[in-house]
Amino acid sequence: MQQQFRRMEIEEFRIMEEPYYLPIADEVALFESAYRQHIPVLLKGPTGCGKTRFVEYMSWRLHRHIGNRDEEGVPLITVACHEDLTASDLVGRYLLEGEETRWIDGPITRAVKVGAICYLDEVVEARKDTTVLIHPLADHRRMLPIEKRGELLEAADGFLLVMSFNPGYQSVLKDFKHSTRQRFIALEFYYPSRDQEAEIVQNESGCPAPIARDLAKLAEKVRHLKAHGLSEGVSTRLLVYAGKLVADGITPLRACETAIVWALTDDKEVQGAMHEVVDSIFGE
Amino acid sequence: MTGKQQLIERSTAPLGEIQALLAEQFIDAAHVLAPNLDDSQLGQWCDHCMDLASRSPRVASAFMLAAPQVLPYLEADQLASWADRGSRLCGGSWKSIGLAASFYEGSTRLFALLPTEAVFQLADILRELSLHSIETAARCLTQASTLRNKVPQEVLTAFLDLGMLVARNSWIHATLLFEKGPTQLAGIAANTRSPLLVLIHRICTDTREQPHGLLTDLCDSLAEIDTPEHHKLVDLAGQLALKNPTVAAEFLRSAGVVRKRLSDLQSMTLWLESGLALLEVHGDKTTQAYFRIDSAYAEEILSALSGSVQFESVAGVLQLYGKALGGDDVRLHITGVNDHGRYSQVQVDEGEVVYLPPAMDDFGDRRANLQAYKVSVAHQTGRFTFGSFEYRYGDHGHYLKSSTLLREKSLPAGITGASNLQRFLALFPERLLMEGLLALVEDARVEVCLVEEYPGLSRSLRRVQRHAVEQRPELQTLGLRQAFIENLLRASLACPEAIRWPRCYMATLAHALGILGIVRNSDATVHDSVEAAALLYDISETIPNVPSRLAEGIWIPGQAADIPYGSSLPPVENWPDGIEMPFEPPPGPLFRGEFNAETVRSSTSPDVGRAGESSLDAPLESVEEPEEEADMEAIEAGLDAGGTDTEADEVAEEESTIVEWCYYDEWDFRANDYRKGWCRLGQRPANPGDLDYYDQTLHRYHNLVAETRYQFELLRPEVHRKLKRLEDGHEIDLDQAIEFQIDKKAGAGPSARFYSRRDKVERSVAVALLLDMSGSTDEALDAREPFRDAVNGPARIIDVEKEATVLMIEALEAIGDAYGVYGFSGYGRNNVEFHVIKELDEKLDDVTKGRIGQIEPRRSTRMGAAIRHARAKLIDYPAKVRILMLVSDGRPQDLGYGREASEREYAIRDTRQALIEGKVDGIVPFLITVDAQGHEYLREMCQDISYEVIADISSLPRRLPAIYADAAR
Repeated sequence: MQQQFRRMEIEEFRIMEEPYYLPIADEVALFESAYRQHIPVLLKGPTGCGKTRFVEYMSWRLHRHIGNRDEEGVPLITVACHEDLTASDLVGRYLLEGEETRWIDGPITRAVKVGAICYLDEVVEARKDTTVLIHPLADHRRMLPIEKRGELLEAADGFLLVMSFNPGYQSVLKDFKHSTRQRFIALEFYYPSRDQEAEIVQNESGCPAPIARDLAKLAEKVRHLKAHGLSEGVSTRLLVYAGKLVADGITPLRACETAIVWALTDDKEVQGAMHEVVDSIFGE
Repeated sequence: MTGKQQLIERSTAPLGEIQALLAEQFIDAAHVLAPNLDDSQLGQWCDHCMDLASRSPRVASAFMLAAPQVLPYLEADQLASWADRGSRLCGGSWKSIGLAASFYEGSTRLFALLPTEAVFQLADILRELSLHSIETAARCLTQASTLRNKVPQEVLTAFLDLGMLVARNSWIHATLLFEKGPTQLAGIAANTRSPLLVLIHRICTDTREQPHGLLTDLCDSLAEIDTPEHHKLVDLAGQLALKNPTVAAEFLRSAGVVRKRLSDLQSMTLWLESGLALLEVHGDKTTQAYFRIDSAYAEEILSALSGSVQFESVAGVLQLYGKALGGDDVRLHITGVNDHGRYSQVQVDEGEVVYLPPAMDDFGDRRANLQAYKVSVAHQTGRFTFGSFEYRYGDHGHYLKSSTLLREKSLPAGITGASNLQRFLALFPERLLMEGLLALVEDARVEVCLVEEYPGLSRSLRRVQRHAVEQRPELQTLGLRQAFIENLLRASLACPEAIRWPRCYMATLAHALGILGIVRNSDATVHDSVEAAALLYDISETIPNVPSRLAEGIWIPGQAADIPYGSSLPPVENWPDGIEMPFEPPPGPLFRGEFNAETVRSSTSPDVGRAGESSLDAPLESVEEPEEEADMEAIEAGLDAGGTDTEADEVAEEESTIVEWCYYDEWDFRANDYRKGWCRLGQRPANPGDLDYYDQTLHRYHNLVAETRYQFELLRPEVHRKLKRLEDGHEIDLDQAIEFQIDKKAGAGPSARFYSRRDKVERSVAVALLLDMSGSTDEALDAREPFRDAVNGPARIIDVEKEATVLMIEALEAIGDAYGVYGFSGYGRNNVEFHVIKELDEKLDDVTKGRIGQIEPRRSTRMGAAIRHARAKLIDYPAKVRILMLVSDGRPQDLGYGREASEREYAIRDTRQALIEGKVDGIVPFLITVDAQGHEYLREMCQDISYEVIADISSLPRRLPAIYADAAR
């Protein structure tokens, strides 16, 4: 049976084709500068506003433009953080192999060794003791201590630590230690302007430009409902989904209902209000 | 000598002995009557004369004078009936003599106006009334002569039948019936008046209803309905009355309101049938509440049958819709419409207020009405999103340049204004005119933006615009200038076909319409609107507000405006003097809300450096307090529940400190349904105070405080809990690791779960402590209770509540649970007071501690609304366990807490329902009363809800934390 998927080691993953990313301000220049200066970067912003896409884009861009250190570009190692993520998950652990034990590097160790961009997505989800582990890596030392092996790894030149989190989750924000925070420069992301978002939606979804503009307009309106029944505004990602449905022949009303109204909340009243907004824009 | 002469002579002498004049009057009358009566009839008449003369010569005189005159209206044998009825009015007192005499004196006129039987009926009514009040009977007699003009003949019998019922059952209202009844009936369809009166008679005979009150209610209700439908509705009510007359009365009472909400009579029948079904299943109380529209089920049925949309039913969605379109600050405000066709109670503040009517029934179906609400919200929020308030004085528009410099030159004094827009408006001597023009021009611009921004609304907008134009006044009834502006307004509503204007002046209008057309460009700004309005102002000024009929020539549709008809208007001075009408700009359509320069947000205030002048002291419209009237009614009702005049003043005074009003349903156990939005609850922070009280209480109970704290600390869970058998963890569990190795050696497919971990465990409990602050808590605990101290006097129930609260707070701080402390009281359903001592998410600090000392007894105990409000707070608070503790000194009672002024069962059932609602939402309610008799009603009120009666009130501070510890364990 023919293999339908590609298998690779995580440090081998490189973005080889340019991902679509529309720069909103000077974030590209700032990131490049941070990369050159080995300054870790914290990306803040609501869900679906383009943080991960930005890292992918920068990984590709650094490969294209300043990736001369490595002919094949800068690898990108992404770790999706969660509350059960432990230090061993990041650094590595011993596994039993026959009567022996064998050490397996964790993703951060691999990134340190190969000089990759290590992207810790939604880092506040991880436990506090886990984030403390990265402190020596995230300052001038750029060292990763591996206690179990009694080793200290100095990061390769191309290594950069990038973290993201969503400041919308207030209770979790309280857990974000200042000693961690103050090791990063922070790039704030928010939803793009209506025109920019329309351009993104059109590009990503392939829907007609007027539909993309209306979706961006709808997003602007729905985001007013944040804290009035919605804990988060509608993400650009959901708009793209709606655009894709439309591009595939679903009516805009139905596409918005499934990709936005129902996806965002279960509260019937908020759904009702959003439905009326959708109807005001896409209704006949 | 004939028999008749003998009869006359036999009576003459005795009469002459009483009064010589009487004998003369008798002879004169007798000679007229004799030819028309037989001997027997004449004899009867003579006997009446003798009888009356013996009782009152005045009455006898009136009778004898009237007899020949009434004879033409009566059959000979009816004369005795007439005489007899008058005679029965004469009871011997001087008042009754006057009444009887008046009756005889007025009889000729009455017979001339009314049928004989009606006069006899009237006399019977007067007789019945005279048993209670001769003055009332006399007043009714006076009114009776006007009945001919007011009550049609065919209705008269039914009217007088009702009159007799009133005289018997509620004589005090008889005058009202005779005075006002005919006028009230005039509003009813001619063919329905009699059936209506018969129906009222039947209902009032079977029930304790007061006939005139019911007549008034039903006439008022039917007056709201087109007359062709009256007969059918009364007929339906008649059928209903056969089953239950009280329910029939309620059906007709609310018919006016219901009919407005329903599109046709067929729906009314369906409404009635639903009520009938209810009657069979749930009985009359529930059905009465249904027909009063006093139950949620009634609202549900009405909504289902009706095309109209009540704001209340879509409030949540519309509020959010408004915020989505206009942003966070948008607030919807429901208000009625005043006589000038404008929204009343317009508030002058800085919020982004959208004005809406309480119901929308402009269109036949529900969706169209909801869309109309949406259009109104979109238009009014559009002013904020499309920059209506972003005008900067002196800035140019995209199409029109600023004329401010030019206009300033023509004014003698400096121009001032609180905002940029007000400063601009101050450039125009006729400010009302300018405001009206600006509103219509800017509204036209906003609607163009609306179509572009919300294409899905455009069809609905069009429908609403057309409907608005249909409601506009007849153009030729207005002054010429008003008609000019009215035409512009119609054009702004995108309905040029509705324009009418004198053909010979069409050039003026065409020019104006061209200016208005500028703001129809999608990139026009508020600056274009302002300048366009200024240009229109210049044109309007040249048009005198003379009666439109003076405008020469025929009026033609405005669509012909592009044809170069006629010329501009003649100069103002060419019109005759003294014929100008007072000018007022026509009010804009309601859906556009109020575009009021005074409500411009502070962000548009002119730059101080730029304006350099003080603000304009433009008069602001006074803000009416919608609730004030209801409060006053409650106070004026005089149903004292412990309140006094001074307290009424306090109520008014406190209006200013209230931070938040909420409305809650109340459970009506008879209707077996909720009364929607029945209670108005005002949440306010408790009065601030110093720390003395709190500290003194801690000092007084220091032993108990320490003990309670200790007990509560024991309740605190361990901070960390060890989790075993994990694939990963902080520590290796040695036993499990060895087992793992053994399994591995044995090849048994071991599970690598030999780690353990310590996880943090948090107690997640929130409690709302609700304290009864009713007037009765002012009572001393016991007459024997020693004085607490010379200053404070004997301990009162409220003092013990407060002390218990302090101890409870100390205990809760020890355990770390979230807690809120609230007090409640109030007076009537419109003024439930909810005092916040400490919110659930508020920290205990000197401010909150200080508030406890200021808790004082206030008014009544409407528990249901207070429990519902506390429940809402608990639901919003993120906790796994939510507890509501209510500390009270007696059963719930308040003014109007029930069908009667204060009804025990109603209040208890509503409180119970409120507690059940809490339970359904996962809240654990707990009631504590210090009323030794509490078992009696708590057993009924709580049933499966926990409660405790603390017979020894002084033990409350000790018991309260203990009860909580058990509840929250």
